[in-house]
Amino acid sequence: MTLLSVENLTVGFPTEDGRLRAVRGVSYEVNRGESVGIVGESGSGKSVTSLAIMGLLPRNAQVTGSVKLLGEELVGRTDKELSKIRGRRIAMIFQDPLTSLNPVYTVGDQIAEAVRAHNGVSKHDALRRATDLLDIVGIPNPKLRARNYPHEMSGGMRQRIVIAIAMANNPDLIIADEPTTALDVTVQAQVLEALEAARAETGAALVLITHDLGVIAGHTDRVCVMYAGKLVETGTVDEIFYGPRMPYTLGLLGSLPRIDETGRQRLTPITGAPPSLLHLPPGCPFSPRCPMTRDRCDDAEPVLTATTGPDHRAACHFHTELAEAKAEDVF
Amino acid sequence: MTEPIVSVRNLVKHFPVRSRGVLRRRTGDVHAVCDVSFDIFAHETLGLVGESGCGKTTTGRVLLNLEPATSGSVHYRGRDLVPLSRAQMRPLRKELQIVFQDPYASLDPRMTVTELIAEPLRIHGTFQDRSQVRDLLRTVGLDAEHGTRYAHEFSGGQRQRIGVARALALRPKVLVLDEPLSALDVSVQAGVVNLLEDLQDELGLSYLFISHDLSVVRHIADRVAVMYLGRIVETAPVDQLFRQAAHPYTQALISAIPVPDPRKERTRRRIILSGDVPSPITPPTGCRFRTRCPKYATQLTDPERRRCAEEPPTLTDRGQGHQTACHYAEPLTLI
Amino acid sequence: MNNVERTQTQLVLRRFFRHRAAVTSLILLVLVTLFAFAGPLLWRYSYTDITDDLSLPPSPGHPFGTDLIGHDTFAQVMRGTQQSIKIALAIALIGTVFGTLWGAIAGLYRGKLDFLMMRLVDIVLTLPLIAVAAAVAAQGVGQSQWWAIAVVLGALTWPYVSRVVRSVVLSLREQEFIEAARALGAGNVRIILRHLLPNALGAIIVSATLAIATGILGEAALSFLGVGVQAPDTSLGLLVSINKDAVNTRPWLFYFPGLFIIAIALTINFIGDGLRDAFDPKQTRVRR
Repeated sequence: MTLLSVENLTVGFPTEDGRLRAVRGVSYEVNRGESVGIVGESGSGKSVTSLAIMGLLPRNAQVTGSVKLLGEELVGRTDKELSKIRGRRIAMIFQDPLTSLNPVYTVGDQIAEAVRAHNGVSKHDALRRATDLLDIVGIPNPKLRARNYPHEMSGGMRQRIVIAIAMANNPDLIIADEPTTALDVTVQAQVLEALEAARAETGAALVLITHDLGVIAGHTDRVCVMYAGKLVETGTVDEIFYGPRMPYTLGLLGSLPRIDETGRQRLTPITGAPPSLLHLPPGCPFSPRCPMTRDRCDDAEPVLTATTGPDHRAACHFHTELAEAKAEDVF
Repeated sequence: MTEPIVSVRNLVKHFPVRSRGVLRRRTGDVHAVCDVSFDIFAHETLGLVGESGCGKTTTGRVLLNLEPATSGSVHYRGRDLVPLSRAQMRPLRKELQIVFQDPYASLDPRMTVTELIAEPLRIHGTFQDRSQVRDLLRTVGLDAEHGTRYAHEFSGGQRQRIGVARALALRPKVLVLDEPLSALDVSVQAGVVNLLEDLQDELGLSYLFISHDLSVVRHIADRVAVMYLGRIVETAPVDQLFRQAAHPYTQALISAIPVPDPRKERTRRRIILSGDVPSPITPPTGCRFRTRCPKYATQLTDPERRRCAEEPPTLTDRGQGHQTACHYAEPLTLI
Repeated sequence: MNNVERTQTQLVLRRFFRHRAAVTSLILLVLVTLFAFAGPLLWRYSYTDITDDLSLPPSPGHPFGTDLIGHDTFAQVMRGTQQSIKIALAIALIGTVFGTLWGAIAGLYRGKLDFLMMRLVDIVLTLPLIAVAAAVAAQGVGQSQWWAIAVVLGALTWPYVSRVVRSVVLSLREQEFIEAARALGAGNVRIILRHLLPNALGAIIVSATLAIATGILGEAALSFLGVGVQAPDTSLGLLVSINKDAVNTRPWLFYFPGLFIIAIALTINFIGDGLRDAFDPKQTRVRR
């Protein structure tokens, strides 16, 4: 069952050099309970997309398209209406947990407050529930820790507090925007574990936005790859990782040094840098960096088309040539 | 084995913690680097890994005498750098260079690329003409005609190449690479990694590669030293370390790295550490890792634990240059 | 990455010229300055001339009217503006040079020296500026030169500049590019001249601009109190002071110089705002 459906979402920002087209027509769906990864490099529009869904963009942003939560349109709603949906039905976790925590209340109070906002239990019960939630997200000595203020905790702990608050509302959907980027690997593992625990407890669907393909591989069912404000490939996590059909995805996978591979094999970098979203070339935005590029790529921008299956789609004119291709041969 | 080019022995670096206000009394010390020893050999890459606050960056800074050491020695080709003054250090700067983490902050925004790269040459009086700068730009894979531009006009990867060119200008022997990739996008990182590897082969450089990213370290390093809370807890040749990690911290670190391979990720064994890194102002007694150590928490008996709490483990050789600082080290295959 | 190559200076200028209030102010200020310095060469009366027209309201012959003895107010305002601008610039120059040095040294060396230097700044800041200036200047009433006033006021504006410069230097010295220069073997002199000062220039220019505004007002206040510029020479502050009793009978004598004081102080403040925005690199950051 479709929980969230994003259709032809575009976001533009007026800047001194013209209109910055941050998101250029993104469509995807998230089913109940499912985990969708959105992966892309900085400037690919992955964060702006999720901020647009939540209605959290700055006022000068120009948003078009449609975002439906269980059939209910979110684009064009007032901030007041959206704030009812945010935090209740959609919870959001940002890279910096301090932006979502109130510095003057203890974390226990903040979680209890979220519990009470959702179901009218007594303050005492809410605090007990808060302690349980802290335990679920893996905070040691939850009773003691509930009395701490956010500034008394480490970054990883704060992020787990944010996850506990997200759970308190029993949301249908959790959007996590680079939730572990600022954290160390062992702490990242703790936070991801807490996120999994939160999903198991609430049954919420997850949209996980990250640049880290390793995190995507371990924690998502389906993947959307973004480049220059568009989805360039989407499919199940296995389809994307084992049979990418868009040169960008292939190149991204090939450029990663891997902990499970020995020796000094050469990495296969993607040359160049992502295009400016102010002056996009007319054709495929990846064309200037693509080793397979041909005339047609510069003429028409490819759209997402079905490849190996109806749900594995790639935006490349020549995706059939990528069957069985290896990054080191193409790049 | 041949003589090491850099030899660090018992290096200690404490930062004073002072009270606020007028008196600024010294109230304690941050034990940033504690009794760290390692060697770097010619043409070799030593990976120094650990999480934020473990002292790896400070180790690099002290090694280059950018921060004075509290005690210990850093021998470069037999000469101790620690007692040298800034002026005495200057000629040696030609041979020991550094590439910084943040290619945005480490390049002066008011200088053109030519000025940036020519600066080391001017400081050491070896600047002749712009062709030197053009050659350096070409060496790091940049357009030689872009010298008149400012750093902000380049992408992150290109800026980091400028940083590398600046470090190479003096033809150093040893390069400290302080998290040179962490500010870069994934697709751009690979190009810089390849560049660093090529430069090492061509110029015979020795690298101290400081990083929190074990995947990159596995790729680029010959040997690895793992730091935790100011101490080296394990050091080994790269394959040995990743295949037979014997320190519980290294094991947790390796198991926490996400692998871009869904099937492996689903079946991997993960060691999740509990709690946070303790404060380096009051590090735990005995083994500094014991407060988070899964082995200490679940597998050891009380008398064994007492040993962890009382006796700081020292690096013990396990053969083939593999040393571990754990009383109860046990190799574990995680990948 | 954009294809257009732009230097830092070009970027700053571009941002400045987009600041409408600042650009309007700049144009106004240029006009006022031209009026003050080129005007006297073209105008038929000098500020010392005594005409036959006594106490005339503004008319084509005397745009700003005349006073009781027949001075042409237009010429007097020209001369007054000229003196005021000259003094204000001198104040800003003295205050900025001294303040920059003071702040840069404190910020660079930190520790005890910084502590002592900054406490001295605090002390100077607690002094009521005008009262002290008046007291000092009063020692030499009757003989005070325009530059003497500038020195007195400059000595009282530098603490503001030094505070700004110190905080900029403190944050700059922690920047990685300063450490990079150290790692290359650069000495202190090189770091100060090649790295710290060019990067602190924006902040210095902004506080210098604001010091000019303070200078204009300070000079006006001193002259108003009678311890600034002395007759027969004149300044905007002196004109306002002499004519303060005429505000009801011959308002043009009071309002025209007053208007010029306000216009100059206001435009300079706007220009300072524009410069501050132009130098602030956060302006160009695009949300990703």
